[in-house]
Amino acid sequence: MSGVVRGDAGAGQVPASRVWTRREVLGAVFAASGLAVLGGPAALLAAGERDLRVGLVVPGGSAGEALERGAVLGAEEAARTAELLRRRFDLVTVRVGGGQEVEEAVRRLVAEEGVYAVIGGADAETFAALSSAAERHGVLFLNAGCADPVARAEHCRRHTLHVAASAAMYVDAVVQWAAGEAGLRRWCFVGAATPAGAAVYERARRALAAQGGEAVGRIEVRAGTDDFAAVFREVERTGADLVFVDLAGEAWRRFLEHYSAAAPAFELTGLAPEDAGEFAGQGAGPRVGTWPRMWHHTLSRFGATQLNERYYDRFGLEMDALGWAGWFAVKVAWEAANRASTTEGPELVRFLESARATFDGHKGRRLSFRPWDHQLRQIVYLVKPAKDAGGAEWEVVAELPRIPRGPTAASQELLDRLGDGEAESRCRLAPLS
Amino acid sequence: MMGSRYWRLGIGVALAGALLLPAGVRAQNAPLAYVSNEGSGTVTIIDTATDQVVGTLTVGPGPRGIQVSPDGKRVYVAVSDLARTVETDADAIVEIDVATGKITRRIRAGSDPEQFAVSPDGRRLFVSNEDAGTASIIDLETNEVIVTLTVGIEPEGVAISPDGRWVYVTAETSNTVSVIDTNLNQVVASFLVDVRPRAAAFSPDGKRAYVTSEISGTVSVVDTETHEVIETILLEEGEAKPVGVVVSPDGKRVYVANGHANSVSVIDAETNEVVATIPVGRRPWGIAITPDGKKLYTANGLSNDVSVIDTATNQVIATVDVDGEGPWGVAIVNPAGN
Repeated sequence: MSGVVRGDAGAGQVPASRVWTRREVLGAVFAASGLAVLGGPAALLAAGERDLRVGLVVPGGSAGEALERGAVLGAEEAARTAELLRRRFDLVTVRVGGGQEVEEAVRRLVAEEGVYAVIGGADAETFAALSSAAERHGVLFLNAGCADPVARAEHCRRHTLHVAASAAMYVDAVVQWAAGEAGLRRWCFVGAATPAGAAVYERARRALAAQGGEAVGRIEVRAGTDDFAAVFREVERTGADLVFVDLAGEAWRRFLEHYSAAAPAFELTGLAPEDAGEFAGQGAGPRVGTWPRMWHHTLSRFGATQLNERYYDRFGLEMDALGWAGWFAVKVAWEAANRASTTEGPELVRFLESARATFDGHKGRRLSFRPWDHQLRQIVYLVKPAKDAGGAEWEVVAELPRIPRGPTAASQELLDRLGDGEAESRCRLAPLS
Repeated sequence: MMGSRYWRLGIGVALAGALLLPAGVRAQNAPLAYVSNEGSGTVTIIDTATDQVVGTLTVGPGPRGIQVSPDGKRVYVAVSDLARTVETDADAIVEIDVATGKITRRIRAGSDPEQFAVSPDGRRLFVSNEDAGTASIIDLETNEVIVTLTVGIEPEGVAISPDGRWVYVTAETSNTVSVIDTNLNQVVASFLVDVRPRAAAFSPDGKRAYVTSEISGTVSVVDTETHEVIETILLEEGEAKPVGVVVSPDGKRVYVANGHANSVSVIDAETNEVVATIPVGRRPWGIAITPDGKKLYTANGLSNDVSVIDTATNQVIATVDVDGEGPWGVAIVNPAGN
């Protein structure tokens, strides 16, 4: 993985090995070539800041791996751009065994590797630990994977920004589509018996009511539940025309298998696990339901084809949601340092909260962060089994929020139609002066 | 696949000649607007004196970038198929003889050629290769690629200074402009601009360049002596989607096609302020101006037409149906030489 200093921390060690890569060799050649690099905000960075380094902290498992792949692609592209500007960009990757190892990893990333930003959040545990550690060490933290509303509310912090879509954004996307456009307004909720599950239910119930819909039932699924037949019987008793499922990975898959086998009358949607490989052609899970995603490998407009192809060429896999989020988080870290002309955490946050901080995520709109909760404004895609492929593949059936044609559509205002507004958000940061 | 290539060329030549309308319908010596139609594989020719279509040429799949030789005798069009990342026989820059309306040669230009520039002496082409992240310099006398240079990620817009010394290549993903010194055939500088830079244009005196950034909704004004951004102009509060850009022959106005915002912004080059916003057809991409500076032409990709703007009044005075799909680029051929 060229351009990336990699290490496997295993039990919380900082990277033990440094791989000198083709990029580093090329960097030396470039530096000696005498080419001029002129102008632009990057030139304003102090000499010591011309080498930019970002940390990636991920747990083992599919979510961490997906996030890492995207971050590696983003880092390679940032490093290539840095070469053009006679600078360097590196990503230092640390794999941790759990949240308890994160603090030490971040401490050493900052103290020994000189990173100015960390990326992670593949699960709620590492998200929480990274948010705390980043705040303590005064570096930017870009959450690329955690949508958990409870964890996010508890870690509403100045240095934490969310590239990953929030649960509220996913909820709004499916409500706007299913209740607002498809006319499915009698919903039964099937979710985990957890505080996060309860928070998602409450948020979805309110959004549904606002679209004229009704929550006709709520079924809590306890950890380890196997008897989904009983759950289905309960759902059918409610007379729902749609079931909104919010379950963790394995339970989500078993629910889908049961749905596929039972072929019930009600439609299926909800929150899918971010690392569900099924949407990117991996895994053999059933193709049923309609699900909100940050990204899909079949997207083609606004340069999406080129990004998807670069990812596929690099890894031999389709770009999935976490891959996109990892790639985009690195892009934000790299561009923010250049455009804000700083690597200081508070100054980077000030820039990212400002109207000047807009980014291209190949979604066709200017993407920016909400100042009150640091959520990235972005398009959410709904995918469902493709009719042409006999249900073997997924296709994008809607992009939310709906963007009207015309010259007056303001990106910020439109994209704020997904997720918590300032008034309802549990995270309300005061603007930096 | 040489046989296949020649077969395509033969068809192209035959169709191009067959579909050119009689020359008698056009005004003598008036400039012609050549419009590439990405969806229909054609080029529409508009007489700028009458704003009537006077011919249609079949050029091959996916024509986009379109430029004219300095003597006004040849038009170059970038064509490519849907296999964006693989070079096929369909990928080329085709050369059209203006006098006969026939394709006279196909120039190999890497996979997915999109935008390019012709040197002022007419001897070289500078082509961006999007998927490869490179720019190719092609000798038009030998049809050979002289050198391939690494530029930013997803290079797109290409512009050459009036004196032919500098070529600017914009790159969408890295938000960079690479500066090629044509004396050295090397990238000698790179600089950052706003988000998703799409196209560039030099002022007639060569002292300024203007780079459009689609996602930021801005135009970066560049001092070409230092290759530094000296000012950034916000269009429609950032909600314009600027793509194509052209500078008036007198250097006083910069015209920007705003893509999905369906408008053209008019910038005063002295003050760098937007002085007018003109509604046009849907998704104007390419934009060109007549040699006398009196008329602007925008290729409107979603409404399949061309808007003609009177630059004195900043009003659309005609809308020309191109009888093709997906107008993309537009170039003005001046019989007296470009």
